[in-house]
Amino acid sequence: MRSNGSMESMLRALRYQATAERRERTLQNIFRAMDEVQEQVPAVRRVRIGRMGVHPAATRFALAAAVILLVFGGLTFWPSGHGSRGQWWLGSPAAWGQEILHWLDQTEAVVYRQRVGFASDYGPPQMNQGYEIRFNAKGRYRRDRYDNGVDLANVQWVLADSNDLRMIEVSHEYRCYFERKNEGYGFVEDIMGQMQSYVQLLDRADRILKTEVFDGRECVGFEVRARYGNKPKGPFDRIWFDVQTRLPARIESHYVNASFDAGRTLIIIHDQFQYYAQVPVDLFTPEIPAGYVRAHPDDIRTARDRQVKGEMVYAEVPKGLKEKAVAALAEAVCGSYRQNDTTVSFAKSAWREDSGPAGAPVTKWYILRGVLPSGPFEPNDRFAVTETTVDGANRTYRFRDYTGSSQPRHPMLDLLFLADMIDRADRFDAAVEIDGISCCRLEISAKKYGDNPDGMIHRIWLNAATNLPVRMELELPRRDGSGTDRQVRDRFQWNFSLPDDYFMPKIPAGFAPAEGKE
Amino acid sequence: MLEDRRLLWRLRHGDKDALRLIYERYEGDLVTLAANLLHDPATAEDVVQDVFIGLVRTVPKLHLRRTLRAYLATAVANRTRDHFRKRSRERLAPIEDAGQVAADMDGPVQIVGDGELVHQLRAAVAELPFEQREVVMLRVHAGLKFREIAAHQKISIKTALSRYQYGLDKLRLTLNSEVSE
Repeated sequence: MRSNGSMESMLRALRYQATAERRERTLQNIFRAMDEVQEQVPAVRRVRIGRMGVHPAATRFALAAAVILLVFGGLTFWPSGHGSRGQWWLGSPAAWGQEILHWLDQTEAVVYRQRVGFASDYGPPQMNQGYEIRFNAKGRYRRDRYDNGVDLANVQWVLADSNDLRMIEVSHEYRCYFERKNEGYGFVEDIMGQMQSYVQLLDRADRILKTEVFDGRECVGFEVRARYGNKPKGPFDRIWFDVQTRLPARIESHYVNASFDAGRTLIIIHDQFQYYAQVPVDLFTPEIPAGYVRAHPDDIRTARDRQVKGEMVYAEVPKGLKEKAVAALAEAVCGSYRQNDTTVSFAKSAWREDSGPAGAPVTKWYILRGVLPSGPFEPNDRFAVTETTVDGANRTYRFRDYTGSSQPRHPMLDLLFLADMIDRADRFDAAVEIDGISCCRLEISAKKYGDNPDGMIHRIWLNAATNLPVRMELELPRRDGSGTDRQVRDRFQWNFSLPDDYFMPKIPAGFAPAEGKE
Repeated sequence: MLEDRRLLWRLRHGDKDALRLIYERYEGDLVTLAANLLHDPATAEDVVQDVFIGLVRTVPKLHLRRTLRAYLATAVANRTRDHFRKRSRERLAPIEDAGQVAADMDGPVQIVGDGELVHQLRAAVAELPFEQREVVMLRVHAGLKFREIAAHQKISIKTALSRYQYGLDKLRLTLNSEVSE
């Protein structure tokens, strides 16, 4: 027994098709009928596109655009005043510019895709794998995130709620959802206004691009360069119109951001536009899948990370790099770096910290005394650290001795500790440049060595030639969850020549012992 | 839908390209609908032509309250009904002729695909009462909602649903009996 569905499928297959000649003949007959209808309409009542009663501002724009483009465009934008062979974009803008604005006015909702990528002079643009599908209507917004380019990871709705905005976010990745009122970071965008602005920007279009096919649709593009100080390589935008529908089909924003990544240009592409004359309400109605918990994805991730601790991500760090880095540190005679406003210098058995203003410096010397441990700098009870502090501001000095676990840690200890973690790095970048030095870069989660918070990450840049640190960072999440702090050690120098007495404390004449606890 | 409204807007302002686009977009479905309703492929394209000529004549005053597809499909159904009534005053082509028409590959309108099942199905469709056939075809080939079909036939939605179900049941029975013979 056939089901209704299978019967419908069979019936759908019962199709007829007219021959091409018959179709063309029919079409010509219809055209003739159309001509007859046109002839019957009195000339005074015949509607002309250029006189359509659309938005007066749009009309003014379209006419102004025509004039401006003809005068300033530098190219013959509409050479003959009439389109040829269906190339409507060569026709009068009083018709098509106006028409586009009219139809954008009629549009109540738009759905489109946003992708981000990079372009350079050395190859085709490289688009990120992930993308977003964005839904935009008046007072209603939605953004679907496909982080890996395949799976829907996250959906966010932003809806007008009396005088406020209500944001609902569903994380499919963590099977949870949460809600906020008036969220600053909620997705809100006026793509229709943006497109109308683009159409109005055509009066500044520099050139018409050759037609290209995007997603199977032939499109014609216009390039508008922002004229910031006549920079020849300033940011520019391209808007492409579907040759058939004449509606915007693709918008490319090309940014120049040299400080971000020299030689590459950031591109944001909006495409795959779908236009709706009426708002498809179901697309803007939040849906919470059954079984999802009410929680923020960050909280779920924290809990999950705790569960899977010890099963971290491991990057492919070159074999032997850790050993080379440890050996280079161990062989270092001396080194120095800057941390905040303090310069830390160190040798095997001593180190010093210089801070404070030039006129009133504060210097601390640390000297290891006693029987040194077999490992390079590990503290034990058999030796001590003597700290000498000279305070230039207060003209005082102080001595302190530390033994056992209370000893201040030699700066090299941290460096060696992290060097020893190199083969457990979460991320490894083989070739980066920092401060003009070719380096490799590693990221190591602090979870790799202890019960540390999410987002606590060490970053190390190692000199590719010497395997010694060039820069180190520690990202530390704040306890109140308000963000992160970053501790930076930079300006590393290694194995430079120092005066023989550089690590010997010097008490200037006239300085008095500091009062207080020893 | 917005694209259709925009095309109609262009058509209203004398744009033949817009008319061509509308024709190319819907002609195939409309010919199929007319041919299935009429059981006469040769006349189907004439019906579609009449519908489009009607469209260019009425478009200045046309205020579309539904989809253009639905509008054109119901126009085809109306014209088909007129043809059907006119023909019923004469004599209906016997069902046995249906296969002959379909096999006529030199005609201006041809059936897509062939085979015994297609032949049986065409014959079975031709046997349906016109009201049932119209509901089935408007639903299957024009994608009309039962609400729209009911409004077109001036019947209740429940009746439209019943006609659809009766139509499918009859087709199912006819095909099953053909297979079992």
